[in-house]
Order: sequence, then C-alpha cells, then structure tokens
Amino acid sequence: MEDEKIIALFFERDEQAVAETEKKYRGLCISLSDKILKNSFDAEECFSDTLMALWNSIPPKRPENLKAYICKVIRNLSLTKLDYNFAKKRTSDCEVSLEELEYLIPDGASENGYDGVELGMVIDGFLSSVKPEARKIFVRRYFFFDSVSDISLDLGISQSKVKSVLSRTVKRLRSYLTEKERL
Amino acid sequence: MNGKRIAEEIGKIRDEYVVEALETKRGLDGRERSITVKSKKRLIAILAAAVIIAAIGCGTAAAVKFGNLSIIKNQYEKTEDVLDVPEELPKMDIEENGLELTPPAPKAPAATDDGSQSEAEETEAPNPEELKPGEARFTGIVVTDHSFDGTFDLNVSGMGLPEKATDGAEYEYFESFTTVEEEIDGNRRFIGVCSTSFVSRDGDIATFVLSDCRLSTPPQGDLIFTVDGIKYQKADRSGEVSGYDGKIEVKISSDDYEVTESKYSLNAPESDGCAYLMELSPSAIKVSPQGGTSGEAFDVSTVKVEVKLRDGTVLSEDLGETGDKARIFVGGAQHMNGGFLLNFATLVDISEVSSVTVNGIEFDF
Repeated sequence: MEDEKIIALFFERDEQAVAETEKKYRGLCISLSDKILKNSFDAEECFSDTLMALWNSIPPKRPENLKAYICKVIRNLSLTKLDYNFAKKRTSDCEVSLEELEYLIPDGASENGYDGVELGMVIDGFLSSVKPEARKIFVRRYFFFDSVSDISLDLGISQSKVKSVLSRTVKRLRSYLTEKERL
Repeated sequence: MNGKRIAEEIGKIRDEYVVEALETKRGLDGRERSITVKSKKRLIAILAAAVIIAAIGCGTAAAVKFGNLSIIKNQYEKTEDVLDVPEELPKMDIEENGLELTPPAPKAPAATDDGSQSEAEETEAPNPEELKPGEARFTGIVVTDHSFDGTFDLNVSGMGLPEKATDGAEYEYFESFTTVEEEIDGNRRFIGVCSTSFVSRDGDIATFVLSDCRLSTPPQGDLIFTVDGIKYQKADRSGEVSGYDGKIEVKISSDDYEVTESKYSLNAPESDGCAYLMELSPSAIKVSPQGGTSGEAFDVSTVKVEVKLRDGTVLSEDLGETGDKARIFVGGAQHMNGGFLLNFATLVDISEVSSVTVNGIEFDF
C-alpha cells in the first residue's frame, strides 16, 4: 500500500493503518533498531512502541515522508531504550558508534552554542553543503548506524574510501561547528 | 556532549537526506558488480569448503568431494538444478576449472587531504607473495561475533609430508588440534578451538579448511590459529602417520577481517494469513511468525529454499528431495516457535545475499 493511503487510514483512525505499516516497514524498522540495540527482543519492543507512537501522533501530524518519519521515530525510541539499557548495565555494541559520534563535535561545544539554533539544525545545514555521496555515507553511518562494509557494498566503493570520506566529512563538520560557535 | 545526545540531534536532519540515504541500501547496479565478483569468489570458497566438510563427515571418497565442488560451481555459474547429485562424480582440478580463492584485501592507503582517491585504493588486492616453506596464509574468511570459518594455504615443503603414496594414491592429511588466540597490544589470550580439514594439495601448497570455530568472545584483535602437528593417512588406509610434529601458526590481522552481523528481511510476507520475518546470519536463516500467531506454513522436512545473490545467480535446495543426504548448503533444519531454523553447512557471506525464498515466499535483504 502507498504511504499516502496509509496516512489516510491513520487520519480515519482505521486500525488497518497499523497493520499496513507493520507489513510494509517491519523489516526496515527492526533492522535499524537492532543496529542500535543489538538485541532482537528490544528491537521488537521498540517497533511496537513505534506503531503506538505513529497511532498517537498521526493525526494531527501529517508526515511529508512516512518512511523517513518512521525511521526517525524508531531511531529515537531505540536511543531512549539504549539509555535505559545503559542505566540497567545492559551492554550494547552500539556503544562504539556512540563514542564515534562524540568525536563529531569539537571539545567544549555546547548544545545551545549556535546562536540559539539547535545542533541538529546546524548539522542539517552542514549536510546541505557537502557532496551528495559524502552526505549519503554520513547519514548511512550516523543516522542508520550501518557498518562500513554494508555502505561500501551498497555504494559500490571500497571500504577504505568509505572510511576516508567519513573521516574527511567529520573533519569538515568539526571545523564547521567550531566556526559556527565562534560566530 | 555525549554520543547519545549527538545521535538524537542527528535524528533532526531533514527527511530528504534520510530518504536519500535509504535509497542507497539496495545498491547501485553496475558499480556494485566489481565488488560482488570479488566477494562471490570468497563465498564460493566457503560454500565449497562446506560441501567438502560434509563429504568428509560422511566418509566419502576424495573424488566425490571434488565432484561436489564442481556442482557448487555449476550451481553458481549456470543456475542449474543441482538436486540430482550422482553417487560418483569425476575428479575436478580446482585451478583448471577456474575456481580461485580470494585473499583478504590488504588495508588500502588513506585518501589525500582534498578527498581524492588514489588509483591504488580502487584496485583489487594484489596477489599474495609466494608462501615460504612452513608458512601459511588465509585465502577466505567469514567472522561473526562467536564463530570463524576460513580456508588457508600452507607451504608444506620440508615438513616431511609426502605428496604421493607409494601406490600413487593421494595422501589425505589431518591436523591434530587447532587453537584460536587473540592478540591485542602484544597480549595473547585463548578464545576457542577449531575443526581443521584437508582440502587439496598442489605441489608444495596444501589447502585446509578451518570450520566450526566457536569463539568465547567477539574477536577484536589479531587472530592466531595454531595447528598442533599434521598427520596423514597410510597408503593402505590402515591408519594415520604423524608426519609433522611442530606447530603451525596462521595469523590474520584485525585490519583484514570484519565481524559480520545478522540482517532482518526488509519485508514481512504473509502465508496462510500469518506474516513472517526472516533473520539472516552467516550461520543460519531463522523464520519467525509475527504478531503472536502462526500459520504453520512450513514443513521443514520438505522445505524448498532458494538463495539469490546480488549478481543474479541462484542457489537452491529442496529438502524434500535431498533429505539428509547430499545436501548442498543446508546443514540442518528444525521447527522453532511456529517458524523454523535452517543452518547453513558452514558460514556464508550474507552481504552477497539479495533475497531468500522459502516455499515460494520471498524475503528481501
């Protein structure tokens, strides 16, 4: 079923909307959540929570792109779950990626140090300035938490190139954020 | 700022960039091929090894082992129906038939500051240098969190291992015991043991398969496999002879392997009113019913499995026909919580798999 029809079902408060969403996006969602949590049971739980969140948020919200919206919802819920798991001393391999993420931001950078603009919006602005290939690789790695080997295979480039593009993009992002904060 | 907070901020990027990246998940035709060809060789090597191991387990003659190898090759290259495996098959020379094993790619040089990529970085891995006597090197590997499969070549020159028996028959070589250690910052620790099997010998170079290596912890550092001596079968097959008493180390650097993770199918197709999700790992496929219901659509004793690779080739097996004998790539099958579990005969490079079809139901990856 097309996304527009699924959204329409949500607006009609038809429970078929949930069934169609599950049918269409279960694999994508669980795959994304599992990359963060490394636990299929937790990923299943997050997916259930995602369906509930969609039901509660649509309407009033009408996502322009349902697929992207769902990805963002389950990603946020999975990160929250990851926080909970850390608090409960349950480990996850994603910790490595989070450490990698910390390097994206220059030392001492504040969350609100960009002239009142949220960091997420600043990063979005930065991504609009880089080449599409670098942006795709960056988003695959830091939004979807994909492995370098998967990115390499899907884009048809060597793993070393993926690593070097990531390294170069991160370097530019750090410079960009430093400059923004100075302003 | 902590990583989780930054991850949340990255989640605020515009939808357009999320969708743009998502669209790359299915790969790009054309440019993808140069990568898959290289990986396919490794997959063939690993799957071929699986058949050989299965044959050894059944006590089958050496000629049949190589026959199965040719079937696997035909299966990939001609997409033939391979279910009618004959009892006896002609011996096949690996090199003559073009089946080659791919070495792990060496670490490529870093890009220049302006981001340009050097030519050397885009080229295939160079052929490995000649092995010195007593030296061993991996030619194909698959690593997961808790397992390792691989093939390695060993130069047996000067190790007291005769190539031919007096009656002209080939010797079969056996290892004694293989341990796995991990080395990080110069410190080694034991993390598992392996089964090692002889595959073939060409002059001084003997090829072995390491399989069923169960690792106690996910590997991170360099891995060292120590084969404790090699035995060989007497010409009259009346017993084993200890041919080489020393230890042989086969190493692989942490730069030369990546741990393969499981994948979930991108879709959850329905059968008999029940939706199913497939988890694909290097060692198995697991099909689970969703939503707490089960259509009991699968009888694992007759299930038909088709694995499609990204370059379009297809690997298929019908357990209803092959049963417990002459299996091609399925090692075992069992019902599980309304779904089922199929074990591969050995680890598989899942990055090469584009879809898996079970009883006509297709799961996309």
